[in-house]
Amino acid sequence: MVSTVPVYIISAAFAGVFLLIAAIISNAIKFEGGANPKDPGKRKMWFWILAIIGTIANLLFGLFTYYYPENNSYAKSQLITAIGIGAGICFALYIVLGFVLSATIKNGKINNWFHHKK
Amino acid sequence: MSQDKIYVIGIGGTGMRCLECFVHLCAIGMFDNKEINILTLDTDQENGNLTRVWQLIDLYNRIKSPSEKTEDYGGKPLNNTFFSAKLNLTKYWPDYSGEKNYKALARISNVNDENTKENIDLASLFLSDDAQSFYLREGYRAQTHLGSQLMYHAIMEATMKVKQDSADVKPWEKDLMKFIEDIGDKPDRRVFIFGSIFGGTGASSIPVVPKAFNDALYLKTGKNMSAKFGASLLTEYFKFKSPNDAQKKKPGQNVVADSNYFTLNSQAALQFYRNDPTVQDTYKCLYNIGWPVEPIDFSKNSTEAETITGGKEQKNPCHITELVCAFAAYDFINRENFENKSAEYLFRDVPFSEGTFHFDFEDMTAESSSLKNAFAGFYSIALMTLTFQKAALENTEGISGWLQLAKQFGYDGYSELDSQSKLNITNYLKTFLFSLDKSGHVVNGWLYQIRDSFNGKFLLPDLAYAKQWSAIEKINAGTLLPDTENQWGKDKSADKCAQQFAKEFGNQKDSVKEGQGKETKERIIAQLFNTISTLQKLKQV
Repeated sequence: MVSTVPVYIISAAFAGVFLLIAAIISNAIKFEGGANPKDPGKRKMWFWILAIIGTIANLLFGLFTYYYPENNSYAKSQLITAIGIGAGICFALYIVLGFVLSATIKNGKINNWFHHKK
Repeated sequence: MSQDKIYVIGIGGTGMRCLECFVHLCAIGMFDNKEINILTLDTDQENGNLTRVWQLIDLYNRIKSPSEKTEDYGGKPLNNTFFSAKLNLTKYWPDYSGEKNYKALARISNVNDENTKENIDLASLFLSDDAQSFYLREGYRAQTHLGSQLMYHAIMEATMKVKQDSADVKPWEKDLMKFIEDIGDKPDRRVFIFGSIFGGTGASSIPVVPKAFNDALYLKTGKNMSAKFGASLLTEYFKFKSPNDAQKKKPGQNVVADSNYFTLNSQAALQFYRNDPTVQDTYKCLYNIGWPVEPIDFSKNSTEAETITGGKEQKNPCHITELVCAFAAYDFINRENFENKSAEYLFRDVPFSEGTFHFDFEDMTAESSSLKNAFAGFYSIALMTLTFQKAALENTEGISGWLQLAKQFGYDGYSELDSQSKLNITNYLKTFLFSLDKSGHVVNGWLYQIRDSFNGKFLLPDLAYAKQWSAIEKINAGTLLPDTENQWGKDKSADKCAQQFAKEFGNQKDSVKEGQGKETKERIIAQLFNTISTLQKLKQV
């Protein structure tokens, strides 16, 4: 029997770290002038790219860095399942937190993640 | 502040460029709550400078018009905003089309007719045969003794035709009469005249226009004019290449203005304006405006073989002296009282040493704070719209960009503003500052032309007039004013300044007051004015 709780905690941490990276990148993208500025679209694009990268990174981190008990196939499969679920949690948490942040910070660059104003 | 009704008259090529400067002062908001009646008076209706000022006034009026309806054209006078003055334009030109010359107009061309011989002799006493023979379609060609007589004659003839309701009365003759009758016999009228005193049309007309208008009014209504007249006495400040013999041999070209005589003309004209009793009786203020350095050469980059005396090709850039004339008009219009019975001769000097000038806001007007806010404010908006909003190319507009950016900061307004209005506002900003041609070269707008006309400092730091696009893009619109408290963009990049402007634009959503306008276009222009005024901390909004 292995504890899967740390796997989920690490997944949540991944979601938080990648959300932070998305926020930093979004703020680094300058406001553009003109009637059809590209910057809101770029921020949105980076948000979704980081959602995918974060989830995959979380998955790979689990698969390659956790210790798998060789003589306990049940525990091993339990851990792999937890890693898969953790990646799902990471993705979902990233999206939900991103949506909440975007809705909360109405005036600013993070708002572009879900509210691309035209 | 004076409540007199204002009339401004531009005469000849120089007069038109002075008028251009005057219209730009109106655009930056220097004539709040004023309705200004403008008359363009030129012998050459195809003159490049004349058509340019007509187009400018039309663009100004289209920006101010709340709708496409004819009755809305030009909007109304507003307060504390850009484009605050209402401009009414009247166009008049004596009809010198075709091959009309003095002989034809005076009906003395037939030398065999006994009845005209006496008139021929009389004309020959004052005018050389060359002066009587050149075609008048491109103006009076520095022949002021002939021009004054002809301009007076043209105005009186137009009046006669209108009075008699003649069949061949032209619409522009009716318009002139309407303009004169509007000035009427009321004393609360101020008329300011722009023109040079060393060239042709302006120099010929400035001395006679008040008298001609008075006589025309008397002829039409039996009343005398009691308006206050003012004018700029602008002496020699430009030159062009002298005409060659081949050009003078062409039919009707036997007299061509020669700028070698402009200094002499200026000297003679100043003596005349100082001593002539009619001038002293008719004018209240005469503003002496001179140029102490080498005149600017209008033929410098021209490939034309001949001297250009008029026509479409005469589209010369604006000069700082013309802007000074516009400020003379500003002084005249806002003057509180006119104590002197005879003409007052006015001047002021500008710091000048070793061929360089130092023009500061205080040199232009005593109300320098208002000018600082309006001038730097309009410049900043124009600059950021053309650079940050990528609107410097032809047929591009930058107003949508501001509205888009303001949305990022939570302000969603003016969605009802139509695209033509956005384009008109942007086109005005290009005319004011600069534009980019198809190959990416910077084309000088009015302000850049003024800056290029002399050496030295001109109101804003030198970097504000950069010529390379890469340098222009880096100009920080928020650090142009000298006092740190007015520098809203200090320690910021040009991009960050634009963002701050857009954010403040949103904050100013409820700031537009009734006197600043009610219609959509009026409100957005007022909101832009309030935004920049708040940032610059020069004017309470």
